[in-house]
Amino acid sequence: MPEENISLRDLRMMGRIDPTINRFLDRILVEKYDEFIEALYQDFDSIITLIQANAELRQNDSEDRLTIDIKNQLNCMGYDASHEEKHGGHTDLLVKKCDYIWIGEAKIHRDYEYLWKGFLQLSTRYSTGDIDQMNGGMIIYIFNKDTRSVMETWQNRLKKNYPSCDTRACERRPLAFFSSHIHEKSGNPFLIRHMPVMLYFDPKDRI
Amino acid sequence: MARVQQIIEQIKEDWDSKPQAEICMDILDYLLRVPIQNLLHISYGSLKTVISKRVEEADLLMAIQYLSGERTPILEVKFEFIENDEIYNLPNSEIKLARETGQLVHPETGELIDNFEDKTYMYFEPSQLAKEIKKSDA
Repeated sequence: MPEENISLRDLRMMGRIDPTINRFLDRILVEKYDEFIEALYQDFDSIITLIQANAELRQNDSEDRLTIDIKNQLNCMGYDASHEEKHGGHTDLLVKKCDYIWIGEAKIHRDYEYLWKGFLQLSTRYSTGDIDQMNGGMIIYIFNKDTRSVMETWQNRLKKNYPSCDTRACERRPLAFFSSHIHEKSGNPFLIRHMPVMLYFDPKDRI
Repeated sequence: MARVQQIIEQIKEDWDSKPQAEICMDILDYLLRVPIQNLLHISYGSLKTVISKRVEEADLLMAIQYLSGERTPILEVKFEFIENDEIYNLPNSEIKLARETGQLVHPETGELIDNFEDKTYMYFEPSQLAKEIKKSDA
């Protein structure tokens, strides 16, 4: 191998050390909307894992601070992500790649009415549901304990408020779930990934 | 110049004080400084040599990934298959298929290539944006 070149195997080996590099080719080779979404959600999960690992440093972070950190990390990975970009209103997180768009609504979990409001903003204000933006996401920052319970309650509340909305489990990250409903504007199915970010921090070792 | 300034601002905003900021600046400077005819095939090693400081491979790759992404697209990633001193350019679709199937077909003979990952390399070209900037600065 010429020493100055980098082969696909070299890249794969580097990716074992650094997960960001692991998906370099996945991002570069995106052609279809579904591939964009798949790569994006894998990257989201990596970013969320990093944020959760330092929950003790996040206890005073605002919704905007947390979302801007996610935006910055997505940009470093090669996405074009923005915060507060005008798109039917000021979106919390707008991610572009090729001609595709993904819109995220970020909320600190205070109560389920607040999450419902976010769901409606995402579904009826920011997104068009057109062919280039058939997916979106709810990023839910949870400072309470028992994230599983919060997400299950939210899922049930969503189904109660919106009976025609289908939900299903997320296989890769069981704490997350997907909802699907017919987008009012486009008439197309609109798929939303509801992603918790666990920020509860209450160590008991010093009591 | 306005577009170059915008790129510089974005690099600073996105990387702040991380080593990738300096790496990105060095690569940008290289793309702007070197005549376009000398940038038709930029190897990974070439990019390594334009970095002013010794850097970690992972940091360099992350900077390359960023510069070939959507937000600050000044590099375009290309692929080539090299065997017995013969070089074949491969479209992204072939690489994608090879990664999905685990098999790469020889562009000339049509035969399956053994250990294609060891013989397929990434290289770079200036992106359309970088070419436009160079043209407007000329």
